[in-house]
Parts: sequence; C-alpha cells; structure tokens
Amino acid sequence: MGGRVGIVGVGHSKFGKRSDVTLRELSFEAVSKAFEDSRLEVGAVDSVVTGIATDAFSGQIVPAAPVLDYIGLVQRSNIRVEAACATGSAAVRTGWSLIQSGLSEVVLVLGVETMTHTPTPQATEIMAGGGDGRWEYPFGITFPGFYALLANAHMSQFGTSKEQLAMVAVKNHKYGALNPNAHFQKEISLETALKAPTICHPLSLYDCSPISDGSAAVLLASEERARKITDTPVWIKGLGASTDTMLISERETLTGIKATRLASEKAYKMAGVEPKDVDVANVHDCFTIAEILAYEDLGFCAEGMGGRFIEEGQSYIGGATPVNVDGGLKAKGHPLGATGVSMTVEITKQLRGQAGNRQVKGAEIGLSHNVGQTGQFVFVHIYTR
Amino acid sequence: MLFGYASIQPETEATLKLMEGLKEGKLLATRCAKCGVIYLPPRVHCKKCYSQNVEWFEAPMKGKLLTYTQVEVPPEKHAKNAPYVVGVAELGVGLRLLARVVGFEGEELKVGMAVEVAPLQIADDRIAYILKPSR
Repeated sequence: MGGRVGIVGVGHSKFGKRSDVTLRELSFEAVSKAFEDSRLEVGAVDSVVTGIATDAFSGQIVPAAPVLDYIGLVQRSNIRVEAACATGSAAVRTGWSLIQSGLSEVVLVLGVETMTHTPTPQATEIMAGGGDGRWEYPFGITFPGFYALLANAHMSQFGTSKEQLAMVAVKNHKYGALNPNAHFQKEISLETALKAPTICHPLSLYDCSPISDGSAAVLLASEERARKITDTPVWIKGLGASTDTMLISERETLTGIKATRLASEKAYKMAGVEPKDVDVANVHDCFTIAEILAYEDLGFCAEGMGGRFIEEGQSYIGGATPVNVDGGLKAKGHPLGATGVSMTVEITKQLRGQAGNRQVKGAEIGLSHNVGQTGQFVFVHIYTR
Repeated sequence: MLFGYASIQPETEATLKLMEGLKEGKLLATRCAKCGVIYLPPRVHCKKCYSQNVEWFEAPMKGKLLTYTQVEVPPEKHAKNAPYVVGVAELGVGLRLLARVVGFEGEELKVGMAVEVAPLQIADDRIAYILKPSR
C-alpha cells in the first residue's frame, strides 16, 4: 500500500425539496463546486464512484449513466455503489481503495439522491421495503418503526427519556440554522419537539430526519498528487466497516448498533487514535435515538449514558465531542446516497477551518459514521489535517 | 395461503411449512441437521455450515416482550390496519421473533411483559403468527 489518500476538493448542493432539478442536474451542482474548490480540470479525474442508494425514487434505472454523461465524465472507470443510507460512505471507501490499489490517482466520489419527486406515502412504502421482505414487511414495520424498537429498548434498559431524544433534535436544528445548505434552517424549541405528532411510538415528527434531495462530491488523490494539488489536503487516516444480520430479531443487542462498534474499532486502530481524540464528528442521526446510540457505540461516552451526554451538552461545540454541528441528517437532510459524502465534505471543511460560524476551533481529528438501514451496513472514516 | 398482513415475496418451503404449522396451532422452527443451529423464523439453508438439511420442530410459544412500537404512519399496503403495534419477543432461550402485537388494552404493554405466540387467520387466504399478552 502506498502513502495516504488526500481529500483535495469538496462540493455540496443545497439539500431540501428540490423540485427545481433532476437527479443529474442536482449532481452537477456538487461536482462543479468540488472542481472549483480543488482548481482541478475535469480531465484530471481517472475514476468516478457514484453513490446512489436506489432507483426507486428517481424511477431512472441505472441512474449513474445519465449522471456521468451530464457531469462530462465518461470514457473512464465508474463504479456505482449501494449500501442503503450508508451508500455515500461506501462510495468514499471505494474511492480510497481505487487509489490505494494503484488503479487510480484522482477519483471523483459523488453521492446523490432525489427523494421528494415521489409522493410521501409512496416514499414511505419504498422505505418500508427496506425491511426484510420475507419476515418483517408482512407485519407492517416501517423504517422509523425499527428505530422506535431500538428506542423503546434503550429507554426501558437505561432510562433514556423522550426529552433527551428531543434535545438531539434541538441541537441539530440549532446548527442546521447556521448551515446554508441545510434542508431546515430553523431552530426549534424543546417544547415544539415534544408536542409534535407521533410517527412510531416513542418517536415523533422531530425525532425523524426528513425526506430530502441533495448531492455532495469529494475529489480524492494519492498522497503524491494531493501534495501537488493543494497545500491543505485533509487525509483519510483510518477506515472501518462492518455489517450485521438482516433481521432485527437476530441482533445481539437491541440497545446499540453492533456494526458501529466493530467498524469504529477498526477505524480507531488503523488511525491510531482513541474516541477521546476526536475533535469533531458527523454521526448517523436518521432518528434522534440513532445519535444517542452512536455516542455510545463510537465510545464518546459509556454504554447507557448517551441520554446524559446530550443533556449535559457534551455534543455541542464546546462540549467533549461536538457532533453533527452542520445540522446532521435531522436538520441538514438525508438524501440517502449523498449523506455519507456530505459528512466527508463537512469534516473536511472543519479540519481546514472553513466551517464559518459553526467551526470547532482548532479541530485536527474528525470522524464520520454512516449507518445503512438499521445497522446492516456501517462505515466509519477518521480524518486528519 | 399467503403469509402476513401484506406480502411482496412468493411463498416458498419455509413459509409454506410454517403456515401449515400455524393452521394446527404450532410455531415451527428449523434446526440444522448437521451443526444444530436453530432458526426462527425458519430457514431451509444453514448459514453457518451451509447444509441444506434442516429438521422442523415446534418452537416454544411463550416468552417476554423485548421491545415494541406503535406504528402511526404505515406503509400504503398496511394503511387499513393502522395504527398497530409491532414488537420483538424472546421465546424460551435465545429465540426471537418480530410480529404484530394484538389483544392488549390501554397502557398494558410494557417491555419485559409475558407474551405468547398465537396463529391468526387474517383473511381467507392470509395467515400469520402474532404476539399477545399471556394471561
């Protein structure tokens, strides 16, 4: 294995309800910004990795083809990657591997999804199809429903409260309000979050991330190339990935995501860092309970203490480990394929010191954590300046 | 006969035998004849040793509720039943099952409560196992 892999350019579209653009036009927004940021020419890219979670929302079968054509990146390698909600981080990992294998020197990693072009009841049906078609779907369990099962188990075992779940939403909306790319740029009060209608008991509307459209792109380069392209590369220092059983009933635990524990162990070991060394993290908060589980499974706090971690403000800027200070999936939005790449974009900006009024001062080590479905796929990346 | 409240996959040996059992009031699981791993819901291929030789047996039907949720916003095909409760129960030692939870009143549901599996004929052509409080 050669040197390190550097991030040399990042681009991000506005996330939200984007009925003004198609999948490929939305892709163009992030990719053009990544090229602008890196000052690279399109011709410098020898491979593309396209992260699009599903064809079901856009209705476009083999969606990478029209996207590649529209961004002007044909006649070179492309791999389309899929790992449900963790598609974007799977794409970054694939890009890293292409460079470390020596097959590529400069890789464009694009994550994109349009979800709002489908009416919400149909979108809910599509997402419910993410449960096991044989043994789970027949009982009508939905995507929020799975996380509600984990939430009730955690609340019952550790005394985690509805208020603590709502505090995650309040924090993420606070930072979303500072992020011009966020789907929701509005602060909410604890009272508003607690009064919202129930989606799947105990999760209510503000415990759930929205259905969003969006794109994000990063340009990766070999160490040698990265040093020539920029004076401020961000390095991918550690990667960890794991998977788990399809059926939630076969999981070892219902009060955590085992694959997060396994993936983060690998990433920390490879990077030679410990959880306490992480200066800023983006974790997978598709639901508020998921962020609380992530605090614990990533080792930011002890098992069962995730509720207290948010209550004490430890995941705010100024706390022990600032988490999702771009709004997270909760407020920034969760366009499936784009989400993981968006995390890499955000951490890169933080480590470059370009995060503006949500900058974690002096951040040197960053972490991103992306979960597919309810822990079937998990990717953890660790970054350094 | 079709399995569950709504389905998107064809019925195969695993669901067909399971449904035969349900009609007789039994919850059938499989055990790998080669390495002994137990599967509930049943599988006809062992994922540990790759044997295709499984034995069917009656699983315990009594256990406790590990967690549950009330689904207020259902997928389209389940909309007519909403709201409804889905839970995960542990039956005997180490066997777990996700199913609808029915037949409870008000605030009765609690994590850890005693539940039992029962067959439910949902329609002329549909059957499933469900969980209900043990009384």
